[in-house]
Amino acid sequence: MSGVALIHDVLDAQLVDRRQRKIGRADSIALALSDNAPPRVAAILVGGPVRAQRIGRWAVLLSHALRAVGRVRHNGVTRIPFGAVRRIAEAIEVDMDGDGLEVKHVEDWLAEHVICRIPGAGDERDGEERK
Amino acid sequence: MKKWAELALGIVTSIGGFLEVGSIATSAQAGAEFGYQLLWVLIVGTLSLAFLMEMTGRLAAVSRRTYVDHLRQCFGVRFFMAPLIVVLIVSFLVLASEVGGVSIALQMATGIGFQWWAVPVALAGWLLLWRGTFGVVEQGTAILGLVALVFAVGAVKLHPHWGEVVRAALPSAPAHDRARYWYLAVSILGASVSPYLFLFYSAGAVEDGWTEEHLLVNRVTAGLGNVFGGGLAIAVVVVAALVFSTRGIRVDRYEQISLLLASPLGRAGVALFLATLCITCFGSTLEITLSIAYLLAQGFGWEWSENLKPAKDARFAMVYTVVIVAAALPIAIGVDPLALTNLSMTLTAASLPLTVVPLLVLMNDREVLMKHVNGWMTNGALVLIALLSLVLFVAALPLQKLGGG
Repeated sequence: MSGVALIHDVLDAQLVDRRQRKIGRADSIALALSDNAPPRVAAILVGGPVRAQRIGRWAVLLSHALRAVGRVRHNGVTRIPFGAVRRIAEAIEVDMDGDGLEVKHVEDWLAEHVICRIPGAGDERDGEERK
Repeated sequence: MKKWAELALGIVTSIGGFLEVGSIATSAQAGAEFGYQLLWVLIVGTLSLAFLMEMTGRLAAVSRRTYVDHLRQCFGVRFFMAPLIVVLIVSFLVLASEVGGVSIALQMATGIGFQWWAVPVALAGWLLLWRGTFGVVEQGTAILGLVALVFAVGAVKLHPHWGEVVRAALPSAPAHDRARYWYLAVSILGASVSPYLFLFYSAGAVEDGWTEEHLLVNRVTAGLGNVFGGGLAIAVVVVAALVFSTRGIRVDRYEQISLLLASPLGRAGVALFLATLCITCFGSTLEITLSIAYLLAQGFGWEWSENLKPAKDARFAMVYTVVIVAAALPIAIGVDPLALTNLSMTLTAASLPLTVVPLLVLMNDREVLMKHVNGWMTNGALVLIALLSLVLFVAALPLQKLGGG
């Protein structure tokens, strides 16, 4: 039996959505605990705050400071249900659409408000677009 | 046929990419102050780079994943922050030095002060990154960078005593200015083995879609290409030794370095030197800017590719845009480019353990590399390079203080 080692094969791995677009890395893994059932792997967590917790106190403080300065209200963490995982290979493929995920918030905001206002940036809405 | 074209292109890429602001400046200083005596350090640096590039290229070709990708997953995000932050700082300083190199070349060609050139140079670089593809950046700069071959012509025309050149391949201790000698040795190693070089190379292997079939191309590019590239740096040392050292000139300013080729090649020599400095530093400007964007994007799992339209990888495009403009600022406010170059080379040397030592683990991981893990020879070389990097880590900053003036 070839088991999947959570720390070795899942934690910190690249995540891609069902269209093979990169949606971040597995910053943390959440277990679900309940009274009368064994614990199970519930979700992969992606986002600055959980990443900061793993790095250390200075990163947590920095993350708080940045969120205060940027007036970020949403919690900045994306939960990807473990049930959505389809394949664990070079990257972890999840059966979700990357668009609209919390983790893409910064990317989408930058694309809309900065990058696409510069001529020659292409269109953020079309499919894969190569130069 | 396609294979041969790829091999030729790989060699050209390494030759054209080898010389940049750091290797030109440190080689010229070494030749001026110590004749051929520091050539052995250049050879050590070139061989180290060849091994490191071969390994990171092999890792990327076999696993279809970049070195940074493996670094984060294998060692975890907590460790990863160390190489991330250090490489970001060091690469940024080297990048500013490259912008300085282009700006100085333009100053000498036009008479307009280098500070004024920094921002236009950065904007031109940005435009190429914004519109160009990976192939344009990689191959364009490599082919134009072949102008650096002029140093080989210069060295041959000066009729050096080749026996002495060959003898300098063996290490020797200096008779005078020991601190300065070892300081220049550290700078030369920092200039030859910059982390951005193998980060860029392994990202390039993924951009170009390398597979196991490219292992030969990888070996030839990393091996032969760097040997030829290192040969050009050796030519710079030889020319500097014959032109400056014999006249007792010490190099303190880029303006002096520009006279390197005046004695073997006359007025055309000065023009060709300026063209070489301008083109090779501009090429490196593009490569380092991209490397920084690759490092952040791969480390945090963002979409990245120089072949995608900027709207498709907005964070990646944002990073290179901010980085290249920011790197122009130190030069624009008048920081001395040569002093900045020397400082960045020392810091690069000191940073190497963080990017070299992890390879000892990665290159022996059978799950990732299968039968392509390191053999005894590549592991032996890697252990030696790792030990060297630890020595550089300890010695670089004290030597900067003792011999940097």
